Amino acid sequence: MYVPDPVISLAIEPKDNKAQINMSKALQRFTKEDPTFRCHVDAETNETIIEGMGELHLDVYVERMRREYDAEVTTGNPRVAYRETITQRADFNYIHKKQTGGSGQYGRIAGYIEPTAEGDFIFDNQITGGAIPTQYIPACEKGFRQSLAKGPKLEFPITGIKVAINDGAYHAVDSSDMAFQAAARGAFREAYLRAKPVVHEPIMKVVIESPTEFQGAVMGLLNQRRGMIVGAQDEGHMCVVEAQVPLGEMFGFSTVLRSATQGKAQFTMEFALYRQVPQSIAEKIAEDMAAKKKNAA
Amino acid sequence: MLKKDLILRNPLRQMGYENDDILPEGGFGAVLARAGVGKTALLVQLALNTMLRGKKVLHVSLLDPVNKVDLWYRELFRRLAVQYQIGQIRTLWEDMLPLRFIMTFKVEGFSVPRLQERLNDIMEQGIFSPDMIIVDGLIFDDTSKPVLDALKEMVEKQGLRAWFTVNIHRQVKADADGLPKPLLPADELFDVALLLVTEGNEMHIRDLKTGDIPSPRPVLILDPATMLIKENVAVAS
Repeated sequence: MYVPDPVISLAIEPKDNKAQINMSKALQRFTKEDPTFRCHVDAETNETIIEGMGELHLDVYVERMRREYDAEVTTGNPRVAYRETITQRADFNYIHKKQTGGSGQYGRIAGYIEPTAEGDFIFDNQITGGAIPTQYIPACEKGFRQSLAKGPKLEFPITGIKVAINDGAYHAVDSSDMAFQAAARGAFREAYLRAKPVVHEPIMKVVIESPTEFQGAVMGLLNQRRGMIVGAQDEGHMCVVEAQVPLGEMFGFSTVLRSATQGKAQFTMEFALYRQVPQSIAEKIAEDMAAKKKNAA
Repeated sequence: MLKKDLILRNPLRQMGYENDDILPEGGFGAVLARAGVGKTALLVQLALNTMLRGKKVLHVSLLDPVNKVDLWYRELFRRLAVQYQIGQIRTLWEDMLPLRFIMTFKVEGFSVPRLQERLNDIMEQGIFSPDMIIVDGLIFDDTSKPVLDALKEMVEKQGLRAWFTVNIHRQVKADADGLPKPLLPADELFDVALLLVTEGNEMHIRDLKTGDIPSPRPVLILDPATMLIKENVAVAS
């Protein structure tokens, strides 16, 4: 069964100890019953983060925590799950060499990274002639995988990348799993920024059902939110407008839609795809991330 | 580069039309065929070709819901890309999507003033401004002349090009010019008319009304397996 990755996250904080116990019970239950709902503790901020498929999805669970588990929690601002990916091939040839007394660390990895549509991460071992001994190949892969968790550009997870290694070198004494993992991380850092990284954002399929007289207003609302209208279906007195809108622009949309249509329109929203963020928006995201980092520090 | 490849390989260019749009500004074109032969497939390929050239297409369907029309575009674009071995089709498709707008109406709810109102809605707000309109599913009979006249006025006024699907029936006979009867009430409005006919296992695209393109012209066929247009080896007489 295909389970999509979450597209939105929210920090939650229990009000007291009792709420903390109840909250963890609730989270255990919810993550078991719904594979698209996930939670983890952020290692940097120590906040409990819940993740899901939309603002409403998370709202429902927060409300259930209150009602069914008597867990009073305060919520932070929802955050969109941006992702990073690369747009072109870049070669790397990286030597990790460290001598700090005793046996040192040595590993050289060469190869390239390139974008792929076939999966989140593909590792291709093209080493021939034992340039890197077979027992160190899994360490290389592990090193690259570690690098994917936080992109060097804006610290979002990296997807759609193929890493191929085709050459390397080792030292009979100083090479180890640790050395090749570090070499892989270094090689990735070296190549990543040359591979023209971009930020991707979740795009939602939004379907709005509205009386025909408000069709223009509804389309205007979607247009203001960087929405791309796929089509409009005329069904007599009612019409259905279908669009693709970035999730980041959909916060608070239900209130705006209600006020623009005298409360007569309704909408549904589901995750559709990830798409590259326009340059101007990417710059704004970078600024926000920098400000967040500064506040955290 | 990818777009250019697809545009150059488009067999419609080989029909001899010097103008890539085939129709003049304000012009009408029609694709005539019996039900299920491939009128929509042919028009969607015309639309895709227009979109590949960076022009905008408004697809008005009186038959299918938005999802189904969207599926036509996705599927034919995918097959086109596979046929010509074009890579990175997702990126190309994402670039082309904003160039298409689908409007669907129920047949009984469709009228030109209503279409004009919807069109004004999106044009005035700067949401979408089409270069070409496809009208799929309009009924062509003795009563359709006023609708077509109003559409012609709208298309001419806005400098658009419009393509229509015309459903013909088995028993319909062609007149002296080769035009089947359903088109007759308004044939003077049309600059180009293409007829899809089944011959054996193939679907041939014949031009009934072509304007002034030179002959001989290659005969195009619609591959029944993929619904894509391809060139036949034979040359039209």
